[in-house]
Amino acid sequence: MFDIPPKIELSELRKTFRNRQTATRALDGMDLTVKEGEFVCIVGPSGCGKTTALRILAGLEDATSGSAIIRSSEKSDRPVNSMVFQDQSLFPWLTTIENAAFGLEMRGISKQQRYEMTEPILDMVGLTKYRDHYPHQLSGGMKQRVSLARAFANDPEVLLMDEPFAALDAQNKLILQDELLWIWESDRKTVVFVTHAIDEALVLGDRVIVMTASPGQIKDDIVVNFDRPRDVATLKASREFGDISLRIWRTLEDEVQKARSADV
Amino acid sequence: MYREKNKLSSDAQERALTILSPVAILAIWQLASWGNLLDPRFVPSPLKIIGASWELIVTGELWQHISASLLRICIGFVLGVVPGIIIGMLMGLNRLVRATLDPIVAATYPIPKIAILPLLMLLFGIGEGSKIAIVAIAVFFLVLINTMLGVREIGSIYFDVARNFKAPRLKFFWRVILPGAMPSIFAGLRLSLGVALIVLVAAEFVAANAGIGYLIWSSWETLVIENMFVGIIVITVLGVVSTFLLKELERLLIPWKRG
Repeated sequence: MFDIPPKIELSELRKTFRNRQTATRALDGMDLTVKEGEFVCIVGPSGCGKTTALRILAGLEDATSGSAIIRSSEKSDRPVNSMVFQDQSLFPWLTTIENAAFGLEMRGISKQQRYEMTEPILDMVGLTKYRDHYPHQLSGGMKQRVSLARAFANDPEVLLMDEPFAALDAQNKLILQDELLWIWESDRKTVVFVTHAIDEALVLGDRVIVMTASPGQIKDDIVVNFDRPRDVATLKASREFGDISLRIWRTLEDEVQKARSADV
Repeated sequence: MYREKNKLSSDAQERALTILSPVAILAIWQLASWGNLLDPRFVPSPLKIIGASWELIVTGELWQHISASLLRICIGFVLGVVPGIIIGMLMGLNRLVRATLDPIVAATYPIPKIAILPLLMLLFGIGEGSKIAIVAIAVFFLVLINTMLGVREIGSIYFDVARNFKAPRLKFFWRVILPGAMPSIFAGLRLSLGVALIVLVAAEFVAANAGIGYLIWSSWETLVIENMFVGIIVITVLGVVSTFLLKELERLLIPWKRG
């Protein structure tokens, strides 16, 4: 059998933030490989550097040492990655459709064509009626739907998600997780999803990566074998789900304590 | 239903009061004049001012003054706004440009613009040039500073998004920077409008032979006080109308603004 190289490869990834007096180590030798089409979730206590790793992958931050590679397929003109940001990342001066088509617009695709590509995705997240609204006219859940649509419409090879549902209330969170899974099922892109919520990581991911407290390293790498397509609410009520989330919590607990004592 | 009706009538009440209060003041003013409570040499009656306005309109004199002032304001405004926005953008976007120009702006901005009118008259002559220049300079600084602040206050998240979605330079400017700074630019324009009127009228007091400022000043010198009042009213109306037009333009250009 041929050895297919991983889609994403982090090796010995280190990042130190420096200002005049202090140097803060955010990542301390992180190794991770992600296969094509895999949905990987990274959980860890706040400040463990999980967002930093994602930002390096997204090209928004430079690594201090080590490497973070996304292997792009050569013959495609698709963007390599698109990021879904935490919140408030929609441009207030663009309407829903303009925001969702932003990536396509930046790639120089004509207005008619990019709207044709974006409209089905807006439809999938139920925002067709709000196509010409500005972000301040939308609820928090709708805004994050637009953020999702913006990333999916850009049709990247890899989706990077930085706690996209963290600011939502519990019900909205559940609905959006379901919607994300549903859109994702249509073409199963490679996803790296950063979150601090274990249940979210389990519900979405094929693998859950548990990180240590700062400076971040990988502590555990757990394969999640729940059948797909998944239904979030049913899955959460199952026995296996409870077992595995308890197991992850036990791994994470120490790290959260460490992160807490580091805060004091 | 009852509350709805009540609300409507209170709206009507408010509207009526906003119209009635100035009318009432004018009426009291007129009555006071008739009753000889106001010295007509210093404060002419409203009717007398209306008469004076009519005369100035019919002879075409008023229009001559208004058009002179409007021309100076408009040209000066454009000459100040365009470089103000461009340089403000550059200063907002580029650290090196900012470091180079910031001390110059900081040193020259606080100079009261009317203080350099004599210098401007030396440089641009006593004709239109100096009046246009003083408006342009006053507007330039306010627009520059507000544009720079507007650019600098654009949230870093929008830069991240633009970068992640590989925005090319020009699109980045038109779709992110310009609209992001727009509310602040308009705040600068609004301030500029008020300052432009002040500076222009002051300049016309001392160095013009046409314009609203000249009308006010020369009427005072020749003690035709009702014409002086006409000048004051005209400049007020000019201020109100231009502020209104700017607000409409803002609504058109910043449709995403709340409320």
